[in-house]
Amino acid sequence: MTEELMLAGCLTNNAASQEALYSRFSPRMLGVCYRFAKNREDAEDMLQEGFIKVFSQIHQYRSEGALEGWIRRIVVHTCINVLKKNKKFSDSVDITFASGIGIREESIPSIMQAKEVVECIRLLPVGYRTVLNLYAIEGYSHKEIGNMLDIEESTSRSQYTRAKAMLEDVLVKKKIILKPIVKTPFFGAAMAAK
Amino acid sequence: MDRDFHIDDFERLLREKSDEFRMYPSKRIWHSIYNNIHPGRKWPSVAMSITLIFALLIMGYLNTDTTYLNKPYKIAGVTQDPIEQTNAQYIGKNLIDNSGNLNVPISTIAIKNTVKAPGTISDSYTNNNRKIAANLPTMPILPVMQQPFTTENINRDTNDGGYDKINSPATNQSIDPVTAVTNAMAGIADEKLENSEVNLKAGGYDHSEAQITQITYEQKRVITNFVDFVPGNDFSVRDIIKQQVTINIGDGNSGVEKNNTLVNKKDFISAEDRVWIENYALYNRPATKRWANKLAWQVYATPSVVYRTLYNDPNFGNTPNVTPIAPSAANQDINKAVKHTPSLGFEIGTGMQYSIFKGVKLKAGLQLNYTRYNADAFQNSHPFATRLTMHDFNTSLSYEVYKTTQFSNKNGLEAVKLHNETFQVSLPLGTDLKLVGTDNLQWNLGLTIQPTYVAGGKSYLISSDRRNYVKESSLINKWNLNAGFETFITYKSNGFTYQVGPQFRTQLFSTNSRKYAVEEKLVNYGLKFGVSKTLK
Repeated sequence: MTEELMLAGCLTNNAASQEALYSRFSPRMLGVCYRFAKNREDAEDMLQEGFIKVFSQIHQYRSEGALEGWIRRIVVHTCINVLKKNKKFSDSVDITFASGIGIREESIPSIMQAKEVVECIRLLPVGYRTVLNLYAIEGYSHKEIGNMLDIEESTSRSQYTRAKAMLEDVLVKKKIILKPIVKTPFFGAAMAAK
Repeated sequence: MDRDFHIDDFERLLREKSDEFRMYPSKRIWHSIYNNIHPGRKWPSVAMSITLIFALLIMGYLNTDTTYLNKPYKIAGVTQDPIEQTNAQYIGKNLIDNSGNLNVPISTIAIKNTVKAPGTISDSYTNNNRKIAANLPTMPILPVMQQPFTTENINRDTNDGGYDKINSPATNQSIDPVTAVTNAMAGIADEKLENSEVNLKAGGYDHSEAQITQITYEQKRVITNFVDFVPGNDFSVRDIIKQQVTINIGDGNSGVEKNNTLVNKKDFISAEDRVWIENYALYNRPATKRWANKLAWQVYATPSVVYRTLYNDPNFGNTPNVTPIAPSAANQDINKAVKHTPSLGFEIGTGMQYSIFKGVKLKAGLQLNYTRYNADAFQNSHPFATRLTMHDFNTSLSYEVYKTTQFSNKNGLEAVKLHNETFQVSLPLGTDLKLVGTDNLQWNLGLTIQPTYVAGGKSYLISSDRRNYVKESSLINKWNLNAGFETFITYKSNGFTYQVGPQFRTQLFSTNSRKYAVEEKLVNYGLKFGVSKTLK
């Protein structure tokens, strides 16, 4: 089924078209949710909520950009809204210095390829992870992230710097990337940001 | 995966790998979304569920209700087997219509391996046949037609329950039809029943030989699977049977080979489902169990000292029906009138603990208690009469019942200790609260309420005049309620948590029936030892 047919069907609330659209985009969108969520169950809840919004707001899609991008934006915003309902998340994104956070090497799961990278991202504290997801992967600016998460733009920048440093550290330990030729010390990045 | 990324490519790596990453949601997610966006269309799943439940109930009923098979009844003075009667309405009728469909609902058909002439009353139906028919209602009776085989090929083995074995003309091997079908079923036991309707064409099958009775669910599955796996759409029942028998004969060995069953399990999984399963397995790591590290299994034992509290019934002696054998007894403190001593009891139990908050655990389990305390008494050589004061709750008056006993509270030939004891089974439900401590060493407080079943015991009751003891165990309440209070130290080591501490357990209702004038409540003072293991 072509994208146009799916869209036309979804606009008329046709179940087959909706299922086709869901089948096409849900695997990638669940991957997005999984990067934000604490576990698979939470990710599936986010996905469900996201697709309900997609189908209920499908008439707002103007065909100006890719359908996947539009769906992805809704799903990401759903993930952020779900996370913001969690008090722990609100606390964690406001942390400006996370010196106590460390990841033991043995806690890094040994899995393959894309999943390996995603699992390493998921090892980060939720605040770091969210900012990193939004900035590095979803392509939001720090200003947009600040608005989305109700934090200062500068906080988003510093969170990202630390998240990136921590993730680099994890990926190097896991030998997913080579050691940088000139590697900034792990907490040096945070100090440098100051 | 190319691992030679330089750190400068870091963000690109993240974006690429994250975009490659896919997870396959479970089907329940789509169902939830569907139900949410189509609220009015929930009925299909509801209707399907109801239909399924009814179907299961009906099948369960049909598979268990076998009594009718054993019950012969008379028609016009002739004792007739119910199977024969059921058959009678179909004998001589064409079971298959011109379009090849079954005239008779499939749920009413089974084909037995006996040769019967049309309209013949079952006087030749042997006791063995009846026995088989009665005992094998849920077993798949192989739809063996004698037509594909000559009568020479059918040998009735009367030593083997009276049902037929079939000799294959090709291999001349005997095949037990029940075994054959059982083996066939073993191969399909796990498979889903996809086609609920069976469309059989008659072919050369002689319908007058069919014995009609009730078909079981398993039989239907067997037939359905036969139909699924016999190539072509137009085939006869005989063809199906031929196919089954031929395959089951196998390579000439004496047994029926499992490998030759018609069903290949893999064929039941569609390619789409297989892909979904594989993807699901790849991306779906086992989720963390919600109860992991919160649930613990505990065993414990508590040696205890058991005693009792006794109370005078306030109504004692205030009714005209009580003969004042010892008027002073009414005003006497019962605890002073008897000489009781504590004894040892014991408690063992097991239970589960669930941590709902940090430092708070709920617990439930099963516990056995033995309680005992002693009454100092004297035994006499001959029984003598005495009386127990009882209450009639209908009239609110007391009355006395006469009993005989050899045990005196005051004097006698020989001093003896009478043991009042009970055996109890309890379901303790309660909570543990951490008072102070670290993860490894803690001081806790525990409270339980324990619904208790008193499985047995001995009870020596004091008589109305406080002079004698009467053994009357029938007045022990079967059900009671206990409360437990404990405080204990826990120490965690090597994955086990050990606990020790004092325990107080008290009975909330009287040991004996409220009809008896003296109220007795047992109390236990124990030292509880326990060990628990957190489940992961």
